[in-house]
Parts: sequence; C-alpha cells; structure tokens
Amino acid sequence: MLVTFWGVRGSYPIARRDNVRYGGNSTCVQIQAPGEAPLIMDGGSGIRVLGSTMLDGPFNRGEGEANILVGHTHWDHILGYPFFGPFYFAGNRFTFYSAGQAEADLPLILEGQHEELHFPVPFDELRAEMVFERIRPGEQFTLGGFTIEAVQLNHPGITLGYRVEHRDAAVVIFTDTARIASVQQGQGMSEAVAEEGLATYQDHFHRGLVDLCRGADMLVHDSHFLEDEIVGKEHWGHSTALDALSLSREAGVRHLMLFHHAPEHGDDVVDRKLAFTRQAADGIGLKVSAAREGMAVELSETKK
Amino acid sequence: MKIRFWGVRGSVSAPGPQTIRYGGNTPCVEVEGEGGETFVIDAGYGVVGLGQRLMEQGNGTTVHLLLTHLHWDHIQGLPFFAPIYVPGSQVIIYSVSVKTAQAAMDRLFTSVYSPIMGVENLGATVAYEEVTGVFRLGGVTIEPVILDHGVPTFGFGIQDGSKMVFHATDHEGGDRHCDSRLVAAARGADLLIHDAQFTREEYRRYRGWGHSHTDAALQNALDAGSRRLALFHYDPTHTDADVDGQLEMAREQVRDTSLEVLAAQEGLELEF
Repeated sequence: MLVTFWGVRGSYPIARRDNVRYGGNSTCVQIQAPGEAPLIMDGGSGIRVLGSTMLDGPFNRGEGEANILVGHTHWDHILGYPFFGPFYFAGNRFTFYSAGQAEADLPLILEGQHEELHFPVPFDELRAEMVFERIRPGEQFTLGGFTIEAVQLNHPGITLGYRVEHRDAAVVIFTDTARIASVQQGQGMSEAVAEEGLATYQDHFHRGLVDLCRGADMLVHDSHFLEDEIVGKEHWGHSTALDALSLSREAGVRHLMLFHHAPEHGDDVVDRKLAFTRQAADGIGLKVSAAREGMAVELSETKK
Repeated sequence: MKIRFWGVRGSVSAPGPQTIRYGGNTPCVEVEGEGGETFVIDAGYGVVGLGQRLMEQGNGTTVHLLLTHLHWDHIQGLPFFAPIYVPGSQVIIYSVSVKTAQAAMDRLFTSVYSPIMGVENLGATVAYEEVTGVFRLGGVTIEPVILDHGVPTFGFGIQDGSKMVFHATDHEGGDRHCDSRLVAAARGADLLIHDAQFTREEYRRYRGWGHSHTDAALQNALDAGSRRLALFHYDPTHTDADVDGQLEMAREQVRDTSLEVLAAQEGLELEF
C-alpha cells in the first residue's frame, strides 16, 4: 500500500518562500495498492497537482475509477475539487464517501463551489460520473481489497477520520481533531455529553480513537499547533504534535506522520516540531516523520 | 501613490518551488494614496499577509476593500484576514451589488465550509457599499468600468492628482467594444495592471474563459497609451520560467515603443 501526500498544509493553501520543502498546498492524500482503484482523501489545493499526474493514465481516456474519502468540507479540504482535471472527462467514475451534514448533503456542498457568482464552470459540466455514498462513524466497508472504517473526530461540524487496510498494511488518517479533554467540537457531541456524562463520554471517545489506531503501520495526524500556541485555542479543533504522539504510543502505532502544518509555520518551524517530537518519542520504538508534499510512503503488506 | 502586490496568481493558489519568485497566492493589491488613504483590491489568499501587517500596526483599523467580482479566488482569503476578527475594526466592501456580496460572505463563513460557523461570529463590523459610478476615498477618485468576464466584473481606474493606475483583472481582451471602454478609462495611465493568464498559444484552447493572453494585455496598454504594464493573474500551472517567458516575449514585441512591461510579483511595491 502506497500513501502519497499531495497537500499537507492546514487552514488554507499558502505560497511562501520559506515553506517550499514541506509544501503549501492544503490537504490531499492518495492511497494506492496494486490492482485497486485508488483512494483519495480530501480535495484541498493539493488535489489539483494530483489530478494533473492522473491525466497521464486511464483518467485521460475516461476510463478511470477512484474513491474519495471525505474527511469534512471546510474550505481547505474542498477548494481543490473544481481544479481536479479527471472530473472533467466523461467516463471517469468517482464515488464519494462522507458523513453528510445536518445542513446540506455533499452534492449540494460541492455544487455550492460552482455557483455562477463564484466559479465560471457549472457543477453539471463536470462530465465524470459522481456517486455519493453516506457512511456513519463506526461503520466498516470494503472497496475492492481495501477495508475502511470511519470514526468521528473532535472538530467543528462532522469530521471523519479513516482507517484503511489492505492485506496486512494499515494506515489511519486524522486530518483535523482536538483534545477531547478540553472541549467537544463535533456535531452531536454536546448532546452525547449531556446523555452519558462528560467523563464517560470523553473516555468512550478516546477509546474509539485508540481502537481505530491500534497497531497501525502509520498514523497521519493533525499537528497544527506548537505546544505553546494551542493555549487559548483548544476550541479551534486542532492538535499538537505531542497529542498525536500520545495517541500513537497508546495505540501501538509504528510510524507517526505529523500532518496539517499551520500556514504560519515555515520549514524551520516544522523541522523543529519534528525534532522535538522525535526527542519525545525516543526509546519507545515509534518512528516519527513530518509529511511533505510529494512524499510517498510504502507500507509493507506481507510482514505479519 | 504606492501599489503593493500581495497576491498575483489566478484561479487557485499554486504554492511550490516553481512559483516562488512571482508568488503562488491568489489576487490582492494594496493601493496607498498621496494622502495616506489605503485601500485593497480583492481578497484572494494574498490578503492574509496584508492582514498580518495591519495587525502589527495596531487594532481598530478601517479597511476599504474593493471587489472586482465574487469568484472564489478574489474573496477566499477573507476568512483568514485577521482584522475581520477584531472588535472595533471595520471592513467596508465595495462591489457590484450589496445583495450578492452579502450572499458571498454568508457562503464563505457558513458552517459547512467554515469553522467560524457564520458571518455573525466576526469581530469586526462589515459594511457594504454598492458601486454604481465614480466614487472617492479621501483624495483618490475611483472609476469603475465593466470588464469582459462572464459575471459582472469591475476594472478600477484609480486617480490621485496627476497619477493614475488602472486595475484590469479578470478580463478577456479581444472584444472591441469592451476593450474600448477599458482603454478609454485607462488612457494615459501610469500603470495598467492587466490579466495575463495565458500565452497567445494557450488562449486558443481557452477562448471564452474570461481571461487574456499576454498580447491582448499589450494591445490594451498600447491603445491606452499607458506608461507601464504589469502582467497579472498568472495561470496556476505557469512556473516562474513560464512567466519569465511571457515577460520576455512581451518586452520583445514593444521594443520600439515607450511602453515598459513588468510582471507583477508578490511583495513588489511600485511608487509613482
């Protein structure tokens, strides 16, 4: 299973002279396995670049098929879709998996980006076939040889994290999530707290994350804030690298990939975040990396 | 008069090593008049950097924001424009229509797209002005001109005493009627900032997309008798080397004229 990063930046895409090593495009991750239709997680500005590489193959002949796992629909995760070349070729087929929203379903949300006031190409001029599937947190489903399970994360609105397995390899992607101990952000969470009680709900939520990450080869995790930056912003729906490390350790993850770098952070800040996290992980047998645009990580499928 | 380019890229941000010199953030231009009055044209992601500078200057600012039109790449930076969260600050949006500008703001901040969960959660006061003709900001006179871009889109002629800048993006040059309006209003401009999304060769495939090729920008600058032309709104697929090529070809073509051509660059400041 090959995991490729096309956008690693959170909040908004940003072009700066001092962030070209890690990259300034907003979130997009591609997962490939031999003989399988590729999976794409999120359509931030990174998906434009992914799309141009896909047009070298069957997607340029209208014979491509891919499945899109939607984490959530904040701008930084969807603004690249209108610039994703393969959507414009009849015959290509895309199936979106999302949690839906109380306010609007995914097709309406995507269509909203193509309103005439805001974008020159109407949504119905995207010639590819698009299928929309709604999934529930906790639900497990298969796409070819991939087994996928989703969990709700602690972020405003409905945000899903996913575990994707292929043969013996497993990757978990939590793009945007905050410590549940300080604040409950997700849709439906305050109701659940009222019903179960805060301590029980927090424990229940945390167990769910740990269970989903258990033994994963790689956890791609929100690391937006530095440890001192999160103070006063616990309700923004993001984590620090140490939050990600703590979850990795508890769940026995092999490789932590720091992700969703803050737009204010230049390459040197991400370097320092990585060095600090590696130091904190010293001696526990956990590999730590920071996601870079263009980075591809192969997860062995036959090791166990 | 001073012009500062905060974002010069068209359509969608294109960060990376290939765009580092000209810049990869979507459009935003700051104009400062002789009397110190400052205003902003468009709020693509380039506006984020401007917002950070305004925050360093202290709170309680009033920002005059002129929107050419409401395509995402010209407004998408507003949710990340720091002064919009500061109580006591004011953002005044000048656009084609109050109703559509308000609708655009609602969409930018609505909960399905934004963690801010609604325009009512902004700290600053947002006011809307409908631009129906020539108006003034301090000592600066602004003349709106409708460009050729599918949706109603303003070019802005900005006059301060004897100095004049004309801002013309997004615009598909080539339609004589529409170009003549632009040329008349931009007559004698010290600087014409003009859409140059495509090369002439590329334009053949993108006719009708609402953007100009380099030669169309040159033609309008020559017809208007502008002193300088700044190429602007580069295609996201264009690398720095591509823009260098556009600039070089443009300069070659006007070698025998007095028109000076430059390529807008993030961070560039021009003074007249």
